[in-house]
Amino acid sequence: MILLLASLAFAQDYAPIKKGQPSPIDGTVLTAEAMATIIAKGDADIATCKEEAKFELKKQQIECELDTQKLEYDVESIKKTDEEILKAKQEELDKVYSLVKKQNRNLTPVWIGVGFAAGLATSYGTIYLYENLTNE
Amino acid sequence: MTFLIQYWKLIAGAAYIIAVPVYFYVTASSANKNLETALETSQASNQKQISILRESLEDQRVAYEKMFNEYQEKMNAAQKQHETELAKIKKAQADQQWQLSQKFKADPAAVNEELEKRFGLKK
Repeated sequence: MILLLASLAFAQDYAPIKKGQPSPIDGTVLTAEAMATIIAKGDADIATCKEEAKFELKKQQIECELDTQKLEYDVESIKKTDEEILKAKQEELDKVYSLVKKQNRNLTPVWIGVGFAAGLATSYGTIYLYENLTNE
Repeated sequence: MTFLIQYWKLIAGAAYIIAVPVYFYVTASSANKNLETALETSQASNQKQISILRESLEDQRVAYEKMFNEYQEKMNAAQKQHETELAKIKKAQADQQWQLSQKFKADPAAVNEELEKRFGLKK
């Protein structure tokens, strides 16, 4: 175990060598360009990842703004419409109520009186005419 | 005298016969008129409510269209910005790659520094 840890502690990750020189370790030899590509690609990958996250966040923010705007508008619109409808219903109720109130006025004695007077006048007139005509 | 009593009875009966239909006719026509007015009021009110709802729907359509257009514009702007940023990253990568390769060619020891600094590798 100690030997394994010691070997790991002193393990060599890379070794700089010149062209034609034997390598002290097993591994892969890279050119300066390849090394530069690996490093630059790593940096670019990190930057791209950050940018993708930023973009996703921005999209979510825009969608959230739209949802909020829609909900706020819906609340206001429903409130306004309901108020107007309630007003119209109240007007209707007031009119119908006044009609019912008018309908409920008890005019029965008046109409009976009017009818009776009309009947009386008609009958009296008829008999008067009949008597006058028969007398002649 | 008897004749006069009979005479007035006849007149009263005739008056009663006329009074009843007159009363019912007048009350019934009054009730019908009131019912008609109530129905007309209700109809007018319903029409008003329908027009309120229609106006509300139209307002909603206009508002939603405006909101959606704004949303689309913002999304397009964000997409454009994202693409610009990605292009910048690509360009930066190419520049860095070229600079590093020049640096490593000029000074091979610089590779060791980068390997240790970036990846913590040991020589």
